Amino acid sequence: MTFDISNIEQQSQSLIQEAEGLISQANSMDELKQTKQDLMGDKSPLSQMHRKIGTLEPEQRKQIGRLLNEVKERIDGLVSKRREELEAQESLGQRQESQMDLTEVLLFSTSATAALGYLTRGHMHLVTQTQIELEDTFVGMGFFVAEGPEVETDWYNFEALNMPPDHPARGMWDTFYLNLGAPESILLRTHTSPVQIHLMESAVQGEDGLPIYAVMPGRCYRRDTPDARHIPVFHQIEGLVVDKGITFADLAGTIEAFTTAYFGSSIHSRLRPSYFPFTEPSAEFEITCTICEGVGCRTCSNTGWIELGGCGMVNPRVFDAVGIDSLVWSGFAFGFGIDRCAQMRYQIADMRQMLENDVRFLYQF
Amino acid sequence: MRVLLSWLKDFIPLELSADKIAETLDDLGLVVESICRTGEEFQGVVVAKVLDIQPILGAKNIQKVLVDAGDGAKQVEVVCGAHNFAEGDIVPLAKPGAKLPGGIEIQARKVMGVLSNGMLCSAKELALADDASGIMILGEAGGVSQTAATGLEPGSDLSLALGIQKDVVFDISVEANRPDAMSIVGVARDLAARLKLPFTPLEPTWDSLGFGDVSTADLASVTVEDEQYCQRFCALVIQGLTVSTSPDWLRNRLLSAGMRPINSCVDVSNYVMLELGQPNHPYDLDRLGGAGLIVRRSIPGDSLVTLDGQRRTFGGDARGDAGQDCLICNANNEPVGIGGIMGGADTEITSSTKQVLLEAAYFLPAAIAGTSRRLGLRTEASVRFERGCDPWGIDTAMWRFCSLLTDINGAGKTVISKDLIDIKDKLLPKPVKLSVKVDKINSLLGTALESKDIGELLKPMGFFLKTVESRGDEDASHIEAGAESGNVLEVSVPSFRPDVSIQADVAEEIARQFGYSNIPRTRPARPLIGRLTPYQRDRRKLKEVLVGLGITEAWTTTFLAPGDHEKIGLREKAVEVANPLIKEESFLRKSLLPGLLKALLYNVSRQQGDVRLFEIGHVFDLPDNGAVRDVPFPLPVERESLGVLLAWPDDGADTAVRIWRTIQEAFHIEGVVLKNGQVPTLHPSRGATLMTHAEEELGVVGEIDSTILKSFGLVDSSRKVGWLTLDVEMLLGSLRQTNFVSRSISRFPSHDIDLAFVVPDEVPASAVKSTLVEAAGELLESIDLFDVYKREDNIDSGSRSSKPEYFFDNYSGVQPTGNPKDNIDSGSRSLAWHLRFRAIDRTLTDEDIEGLIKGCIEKVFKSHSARLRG
Repeated sequence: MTFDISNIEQQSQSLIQEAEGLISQANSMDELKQTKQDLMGDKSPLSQMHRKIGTLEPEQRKQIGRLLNEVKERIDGLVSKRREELEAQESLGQRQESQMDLTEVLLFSTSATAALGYLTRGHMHLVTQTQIELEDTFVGMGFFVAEGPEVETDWYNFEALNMPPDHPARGMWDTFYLNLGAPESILLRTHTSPVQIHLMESAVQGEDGLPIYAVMPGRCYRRDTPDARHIPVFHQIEGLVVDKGITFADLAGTIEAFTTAYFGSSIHSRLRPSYFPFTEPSAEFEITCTICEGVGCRTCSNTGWIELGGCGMVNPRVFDAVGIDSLVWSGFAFGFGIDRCAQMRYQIADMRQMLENDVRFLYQF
Repeated sequence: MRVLLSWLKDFIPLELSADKIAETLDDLGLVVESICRTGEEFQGVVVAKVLDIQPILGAKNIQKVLVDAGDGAKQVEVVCGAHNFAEGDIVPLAKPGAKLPGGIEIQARKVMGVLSNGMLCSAKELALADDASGIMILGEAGGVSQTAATGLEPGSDLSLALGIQKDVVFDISVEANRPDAMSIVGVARDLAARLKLPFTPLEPTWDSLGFGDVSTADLASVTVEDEQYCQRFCALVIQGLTVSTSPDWLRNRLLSAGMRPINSCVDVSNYVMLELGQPNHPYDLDRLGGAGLIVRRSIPGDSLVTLDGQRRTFGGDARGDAGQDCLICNANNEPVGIGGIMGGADTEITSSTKQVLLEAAYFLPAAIAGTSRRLGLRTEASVRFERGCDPWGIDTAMWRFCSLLTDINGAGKTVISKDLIDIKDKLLPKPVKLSVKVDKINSLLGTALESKDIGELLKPMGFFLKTVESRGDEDASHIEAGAESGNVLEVSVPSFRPDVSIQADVAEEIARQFGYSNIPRTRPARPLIGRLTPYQRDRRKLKEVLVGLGITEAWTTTFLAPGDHEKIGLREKAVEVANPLIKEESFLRKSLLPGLLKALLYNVSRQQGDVRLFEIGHVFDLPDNGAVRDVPFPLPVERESLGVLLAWPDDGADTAVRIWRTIQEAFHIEGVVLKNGQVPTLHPSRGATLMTHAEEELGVVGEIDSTILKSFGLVDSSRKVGWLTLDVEMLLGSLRQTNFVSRSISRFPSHDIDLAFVVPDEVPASAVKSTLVEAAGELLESIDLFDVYKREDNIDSGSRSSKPEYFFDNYSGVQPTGNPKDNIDSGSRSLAWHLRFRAIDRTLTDEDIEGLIKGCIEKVFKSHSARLRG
């Protein structure tokens, strides 16, 4: 293109048109760079035109210079726009190359994921999870959580609980004894009731004081041959309330409140006369069958109810043993199996799985 | 306790359905474990009288029998293969359509041209006895009255004839405090009270029995030497006996109640026990070997072969009173029975017995429980005596025995000795009277009962009540405000309820009859604020931290096998279980490690061995020797422990240490140092002890020694297993920072410096860190070890790695500068530290930094014979 000052405006227009065509055809950054060079480089018509400006009259120089600058800016603008387009294309291409199949990640074997040290959570044992839920329910009802040793003396496990030696009710708890002290004097607790005795003793000695509203979770031992429903090492939670004016009605109401809070509003409780040496009156408490919700099924032998635990008003003889005045104070106690609760809730066929630690079991919860 | 509906009906007019009765029993606390309906298997089987027996032409073994099956003149023709009956005999006939036990359905069919309209049955075919030798004879010709009353009228239902017509057996689980409910009358009494039905107890009518002229004492002497264990002893003699098979109604009741019929005398004894709850024992007077009984405490050397054929020895241990038993001996002082538990084999009743000495007694419950436990012998008698029989119900039981036996033996033949020997001790429990306050009952139960209501609930169960003038006694001040000082009742407790001895027991009886479900439901008026202790909250957090690290919680058993502790290097004796279920579970764990290794092995052997497990549980140590000697009850030392077992691929000592570090940070634990060194159970060069500033051992961390893995059956030598154990009580107790406060975050830029020191192998990294921290002072914001480098040929020969080990994966991108082989002697390694300096109030100057670095370098050089890496 030759520079002709007479039709400079027309020339710049065609220059821009030409540039638009060339720039839009540039399909890579390299091509764009080349096109820009062609359009605006030293040898480009635009540069040639610029060089000639010096030969013009000052008035013309100013006018044409402005015109050429507009052309330059316009082309610059077109190049920038095209560059952005190309960059976006290129980056998209790159990202498409690094594409991931997210379903692969989701489906990748857990153990292989674990082996890579990646995000795999551990699992709390079902007993712990159940215990935490039970504790929280009772804490919400105003109880605190008390614990005690698993090895106890005969006095704490039996005698203080109104079971003197040779009491026939001792047969209800098959006991593991330890080779310590006199024969059959030291044992593995058969229930968490010894913690109740410790609590009441320290309350009387003024350490914590009365009243008591407490639950006692923990590991217990009974010399039962293991089967689907019994394991010799199991976990229990008991509750104890000692206060003025506590009634059997309070016990029934507390059991019901706990049942609906823990198992859900469709599950209710009922009490049935029973016998425990440490409570009088004593009761067994049953809850609506969690499987059939009371309609009747195989699990509940078509009764609609399943037995959960025992409860009753603290026997005055137990208060005597720890030195609490039963004319002033009354109280109730209850207890049931944590493992059994979990077994019912999750329909676990065999209780023995609780201590086997098969990861196929543990990872389910 | 198996309770027959028909038997209950002897005492109360029960018209309810079995299900309704079971529901009522449940609600009374007499829990029905199962309901079994008997008699239904005899549907379609009737009583028939044999009219004529005819041979069948051409048949050798079978004959045609014509019977009267109650259809008037119409005779029924059946074919039968048995020949043990005669015309006039009463036999069972299964009519077409009848279903026999075992599922056989009877149909009319032709045999040798004769149509057989049913089948005459043997006892075995009816599942009533094992006798299959012939047809069951219900009554012989002329020997029985064939009336509807005896059930032997032709055409009547067979079950009627056997006294087991459509009966229902309730299997009731009786609680340990209810000896009265171990009897039919006891259950009937409770039911009658709840259902408001009349209850007709047995009233002895001695006069109707036949007495001889001879006094019991002249036939047999009775001496009670042990009046502590045997507080009442009654005896009499029955003569003129012919011991036979009991009548069917008696046999069937016993069978349904779960007892084996033996002979008339023994069956009556058992029947009386089941009906009245009073165990009793008939001795063959002629076989007694000395006509009389002596009740005494056992002495060493005593022994007896009991009815079950076992020789048992007594009084053999020197434990004094607690080890002794109450024995019944003959006049020659030789044991013939264990009081209240079981009689001797030599004096048992046989078919040749002619006269019996009948014993019924009251034994001290605790004595029976002790002997029963010691001998491992629980009998129907012992379970009743140990709960406490009715000391004042013995007379009725003696009368019932005599009366039933007379009926069976024949009134004319049976002679009862003139009088009853009855030796009562002053210790014998007397009927109890209790003072019961109506308000106290209501304030215990949460009810609003009046004296009248209480009377209506208690009286039908045999209690007597009297209203006592209310006096403002000392207890009144304790009664909650608002309650009137109410009536006081004097409650006489029947002698068959030894469980009722205090006011609370009366409250239970009231509640039981009132119905637990009728008691209102309230909540305690002033509950406290519930909470967990800080320790309990922290223990939950500890579990959450571990779970967050990909570790799964295990619960292993507390019991370990002999040798388990020794395998992990714990040689001091563990607490031993005196009566383990199995030998493999005979010691209490001192450590969580064996249990977790067993859990690992369990999963490894199921091809799922890539696991990380932790457990928080109690561990036990023997009390120290001094304590065993000085304390009457030497309890073991019991602590809560944490064990973390790491067996993912690439896990090892380093993983365990990192887990410790996470725990340390989570609980702001300070002042615990990790001391390298040999730890039993751990790899000889990859273990450390965690020591507190007070030089107490918090735990250990490292890698389990492969020989230990092998000893637990984990034989894969490529598997490295990391291990961390901590004393949780120490961790969350004394070490837990409770006064932790936050640190201000500086707004000024930091100065980051990397320093690599070549340090002799024996200098632990933690020592270098301490030196750096000390030298850098308070301007040091953080310090991290980011690279450890050792020359290839210096690497522990135990490692198979051919490359330098970079322990810290997260920094593995940062390679040491320069030629890695340079400058590092064998016996040394390079430790590269990243130090970040920052001030809270200003930007640090170059001069500040230069001074700090110089100080750090000099201090490390001096303290650890180190040098900078080139």
